[in-house]
This record gives sequence, structure tokens and C-alpha cells, in this order.
Amino acid sequence: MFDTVLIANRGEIALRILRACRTLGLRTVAVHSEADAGLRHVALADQRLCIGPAPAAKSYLDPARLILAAQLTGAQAIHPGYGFLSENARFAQAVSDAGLVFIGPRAESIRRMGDKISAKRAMLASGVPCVPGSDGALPVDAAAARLVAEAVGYPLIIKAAAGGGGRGMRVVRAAQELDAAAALTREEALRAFGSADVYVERYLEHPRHVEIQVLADSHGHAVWLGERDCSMQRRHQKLIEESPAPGIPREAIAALGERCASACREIGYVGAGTFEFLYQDGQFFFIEMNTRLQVEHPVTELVTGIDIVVEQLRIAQGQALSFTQDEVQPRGHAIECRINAEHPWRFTPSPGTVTRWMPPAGPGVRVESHLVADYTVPPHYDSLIAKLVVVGGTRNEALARMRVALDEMEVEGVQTTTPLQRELMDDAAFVEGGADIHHLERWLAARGEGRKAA
Amino acid sequence: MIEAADLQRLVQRLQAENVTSFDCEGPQGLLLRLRFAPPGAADPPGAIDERLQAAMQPANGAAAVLKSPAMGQLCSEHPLGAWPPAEPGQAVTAGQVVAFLRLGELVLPVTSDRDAAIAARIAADGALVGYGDALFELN
Repeated sequence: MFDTVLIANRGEIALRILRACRTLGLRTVAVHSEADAGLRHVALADQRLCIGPAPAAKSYLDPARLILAAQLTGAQAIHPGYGFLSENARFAQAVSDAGLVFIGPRAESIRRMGDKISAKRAMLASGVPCVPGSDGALPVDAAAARLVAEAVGYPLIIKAAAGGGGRGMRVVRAAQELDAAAALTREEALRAFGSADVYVERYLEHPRHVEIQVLADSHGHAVWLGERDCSMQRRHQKLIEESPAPGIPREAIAALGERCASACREIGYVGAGTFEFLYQDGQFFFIEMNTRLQVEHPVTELVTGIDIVVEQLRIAQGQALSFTQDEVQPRGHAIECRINAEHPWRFTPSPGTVTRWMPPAGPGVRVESHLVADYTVPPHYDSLIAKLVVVGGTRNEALARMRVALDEMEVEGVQTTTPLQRELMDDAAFVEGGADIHHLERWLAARGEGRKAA
Repeated sequence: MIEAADLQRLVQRLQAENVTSFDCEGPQGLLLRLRFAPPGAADPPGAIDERLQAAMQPANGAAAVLKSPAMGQLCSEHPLGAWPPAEPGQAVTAGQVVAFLRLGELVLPVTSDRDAAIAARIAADGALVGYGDALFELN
């Protein structure tokens, strides 16, 4: 169908997409901002085009520039990667209206799942369990809101309907805090996401973050590719992910996975996607669906042997899935560390020039990075500079490989989160497995106290 | 980056106030540092320091590059044919149209950012150029 793909992203994921395109013999067009002219994937692409200055608003976030660039270069398809416009329904629609292929789900699916309230409704209708919460948006009227909140029960969490990815949320522990919290969250939501609609859910005190990876083609087939445990988070940002989720019965995961695949078929979902859940006391609760490729997709690739990006491209070309659910046989255990150019304890961004880069390697070690010698990490974009992913026959083997790889890795010139992740690989709770989503923040707080006392 | 004309105005203003030292930090870590001779010495207020004047213009023989204001297909002539193309050797003034960019149905003018002479064409006529790509060498 299409033979040329425009990569509408940057950094490590743009390189990932380029590699997948090349394995399929597809021509690649790398569009980039002025600050990214030296990126590795730009050097490797068949054609490159600078589309604007460094600020994302005038480059990677500008739908018109991206579509125009596709038309100027003859690209017939656009891969949005993750972040930027990957979950922007209007962009997906504009791409389609321009006669191009958007490598991802239809705009309608993105819209439906982007609105967290409608996503929950769709999931409930498909029999996917959700966090108990308000049916629809929280009423603006304070008295009505209080009634809804009481029915849901405290503690609860107020979430922006147009939010997601950990943004636009506030915990409310008692009824007297509700009015102020709702008002504040609405204001923030309006400013950040353009909609003041909020909804409420029970706040779970010690849940784990467990997500299901799905793939669906345009012929009605949908499969689930196992789960990922992404509980090691700081301020809702994932730092470490793994598959499978330690200690969760396989039958429970299989039942959940099948529900997600079934939901995909029902809503006519096409492409790669991830259903995110909270898992507590043996129960799963749907929180949101990401209608795009995710940062941590290599974790699933390493245990299943499936190339998710290649599958995205094939699905976008109208091909049927090349394998059935029975052929998905996860083996072993994979762990990923997101290496960010940040201070390991303060998390302040650390842009600058990487004076030394020695990635680790060896059996079961995979590095996804755009870093090259003398690369300057720009201040305009997110701080992810590499993903270190390992796979082993068992979780212990994966942990051992990760420790060795983190010790071996050298990055000089910028600060990275590596020292933190290396310490976590020896943390008793993490090593045991099953830590909840608050563990890392508690661990950091305790560590901070310990340092002050020392 | 600060425009030469703006720098000129800034220097004149500072000299008029008898400022001897001026430091300014701009975006992306750019630092502008100006040092002036003490009042009563050298030039009267309003005059531009010769060294500064020289620094604002490229050294003799060194060429400046005119960069593309956007991505698009470079056209030396206007698609409707109503504008004569700029040729190497030709003198142009700041703001003068020297080429066009075609972006689908849109045609954008490419204007010179200074008074200069076109030394050479860097990007070929009809080529697809990106934002910031070098188009012309100017003297």
C-alpha cells in the first residue's frame, strides 16, 4: 500500500521506527526541528527535512507542518511515535483527510479513549472491570457533587476527563475537602487540557500498575501480548517496567487479556494499544487506554519475540495479523529502566553535551537510544536519553543482567537516573516483586530523610 | 540572536547614558557583554564604536548565508512568472524578495535580511529545502 513513511517524532523512538521501516523495505523520511539535525535517525533516513525551529509547538506538535512535509516528500504514511501528536484525534483525522495513512487507530477510537469518561463507559459495556467511580462527569453543582462523592466513597481521586498520563488528578480524603479540590482540579484541567470536565474514582491505597498490550488488525482480529508491571513510578512517571507482573496468577492475566482483546473487537480498534489497570487485593480496575505505541513496548517484545512496531506498520498497510493468540507464548522475564538526563535524586533536568557514551551489551541486553558521541541533549524536549532493557530466563536472571548492565553503562557530561535505578535493583521490596505504585516515592522520601540524618 | 540594527540602537542608548559595562543573558545561554570606554574619552555619545561596527559586519571577504524561512520547494521565479529572479552578482537590499518557496498551494517570499550582493546560489532551483537550510551566499 504505502512505501514511504514519515517519522513524526524524535529521539530513541524515531530511531526505533526507522529500524522497523527498514526491515520491511519501506522508505523513511525524517522530519526534524533545527535542534535535532544531528539525530541518529536523521542521518540514517532516506530523506530528511527540517520543518521548524526547536520549540515543539513549531515543529513536532504542528499538524500542518507535518502533513505538508509528507506531501512535499512523497510520504504516504505518518508514524506519530509516542507523545507529541500520537493521541491527538484531530491530527489523526487531518492525516486521513489529506489522503495519508495514520499509523495508529482511527481518529474515532482515539477520541473515544482520549475522553476518560467515555473510555470507562466503553470498557464497562465490554465487561472490563473499572475503578468504582462517578457515572460520567462530576456535577458542577456542589450539593449534587457531594452526593455522588459519598456514593463513591472516600478516599477518592478527582481526575480530568481530558487528562491522562498521570496529569490532572487530586486525592480527596474527606468530604469537607471536596469542593475546593474539585474547583482547583477543574481550573487546572481547563488550562492544561481545554476541558473542565472531571470525574471521581475510589482512591486505592496500595495498588500496582498492570497493563495489557494489545494488537488489532483491520480484519477484526485482536490479540493481547501479555502484561507489564509499571508500578515503579515517581509523580506518575514510570521509571522501571517489567513483564510478566510478579506474583499475579497467569489465569487472572489471561482472563483480563482476553477481555481487552474482546473490547478491541467490539470498539473496532485497529493498531497497537495498551489497557492500563490498577491491581489491588486480587482485583483489576481499568483506569485508561493508551491508543498508541508506548515507551516500554520493548519489555513485551523481549518476552514474546514479536516486533510491535513492525506489526503496527503491517496493520496500517491493511494486512491481517501474522499470528494467532495461541502463538503468543511469553517466555522468560524482561525489565526496562528508563534512563533520563536528570539528577538521580532531585530529578531536575540535566541538558548538556554527552562527552562519553558507552552502552552496555551482552546476552539478553538491549539498548534503545539515540545517543552518539558528543551528542547535546537539548532542553526543549523530554529528558529520555536511553532505555536499557534486559531479558532473562527468570526474574532473578533478568535482575542480575540489569545490575551488570547498569554498572557497565557509562554516560558522562549529563546526569542520569542510573544511580537511582542501580540502587533499586538491590532494594528488598523491588527484588521481592509486587511493590505498589507508592513504593518508589516512599523509598525516595525515606532515603531523603536518611541523608539528612546522616 | 540579536539583530544588528537592534544592537546598534542598544549601544547608542547605553553610550548616551554613559554606561561603561552591560551584561545580558539571552535564550539558550547566549551572553551579550558590552564594555565601553569611560565617559569623556574616545567617541561622543551617539557614535558607534568602530570595533563594534566591524564586529557587526562580516570581515572582508567572508560571506554570510541567507537561510530559508520555512520548508518548501525553492523557486527562483514566482510560479505566476510575474517576478524576475535574483541572479548571482546582483545587489539586493534588506527586505527585497530574492526567491520563493512553494508549499503545496502556498507561495512564500524569501527576502534578504541585509543589504548585500548575491555571491552564489547554494540550494538549486526546484530543490526541496528545509527550515533554516542555506539558500544563498551573500557578500
